[in-house]
Amino acid sequence: MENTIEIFLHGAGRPQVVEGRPAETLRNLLGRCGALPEAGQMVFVGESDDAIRNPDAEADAHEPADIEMTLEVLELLRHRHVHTRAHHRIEVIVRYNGEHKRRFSPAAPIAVVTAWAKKRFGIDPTTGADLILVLLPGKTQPRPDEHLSELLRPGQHVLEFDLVAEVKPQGWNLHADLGRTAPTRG
Amino acid sequence: MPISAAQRLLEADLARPEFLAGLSRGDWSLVRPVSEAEWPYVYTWVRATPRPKSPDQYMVRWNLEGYNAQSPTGAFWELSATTFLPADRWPKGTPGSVVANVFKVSEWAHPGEGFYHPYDRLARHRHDQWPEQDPQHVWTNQHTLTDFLSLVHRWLNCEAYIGC
Repeated sequence: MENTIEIFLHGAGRPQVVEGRPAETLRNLLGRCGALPEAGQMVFVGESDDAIRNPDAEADAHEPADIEMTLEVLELLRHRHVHTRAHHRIEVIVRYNGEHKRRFSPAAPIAVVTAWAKKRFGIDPTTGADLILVLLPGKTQPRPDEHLSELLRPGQHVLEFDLVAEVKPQGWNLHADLGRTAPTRG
Repeated sequence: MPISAAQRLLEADLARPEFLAGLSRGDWSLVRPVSEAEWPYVYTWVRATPRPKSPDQYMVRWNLEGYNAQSPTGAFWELSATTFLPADRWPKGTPGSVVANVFKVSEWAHPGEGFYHPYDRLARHRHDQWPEQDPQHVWTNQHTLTDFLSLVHRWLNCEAYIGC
């Protein structure tokens, strides 16, 4: 029996896990899953970390996949992730004492965007360890492994983030934290 | 005894891409399959960035009673001794960092038995101000164990983590 490859498919509703055969084309897999791109939409394979390797470039170099190629040739056993119905690039703006912009691949995960932003703002990795990205306007905090393509609303091409310090939960006082009743003054 | 609704919900969440993608990257794994006999306890490994004299992964025991209407509580665990990991072997963070804060093992009601974070059921108790302080981390039934697990993974793999 032919082996199957477990693939994480993004861009057609909620992310899903699908199984593909090494010898089938990506078009065939996407067709089976009802996830073929429409005119002007693209498909990316894998995850892009271009921004870490080349932080000063204006854009990622990650290019769309040829969906007529087989899963084996596209090395999906190694890459695992497929992003369908994607834009070629997503413009990302990050603000923190100013702003930096870059055109990212839709397959870039938030962890990569965060690392890129810290490099561009010249933030020391240790002192900046508590800095995270929050997505505007709602200030939600995406997971580090979420991809930019998953954060776009329909028709949106630009994502804006603030780089902020992660909230450090604090108790009102040590008595509350210790689960005691605070002493009262007589 | 039939499997509880909570266990069924968890098993569905563990079959979702968010959990499986972390599993395929090696970020986390189940120590052993979720079992009715051990419920509400579930054991996971979470990978950590290598640091001198520190393990490359930590075991977390999760108490998932009432999942997921109730938030989990988790703590580092020593399987061989079937007890919480001793305080001196909990991961540490640079002073003042979020890592140091969430993994603190003193000066709160359940040191070494939970994570000092709004997602943790033990820590959330008696901290009615936390939803206002940190509205992004108010647990709802839309959250899954993976949301909490990915935070623990991030803390163990950021520059502020200095080993144990």
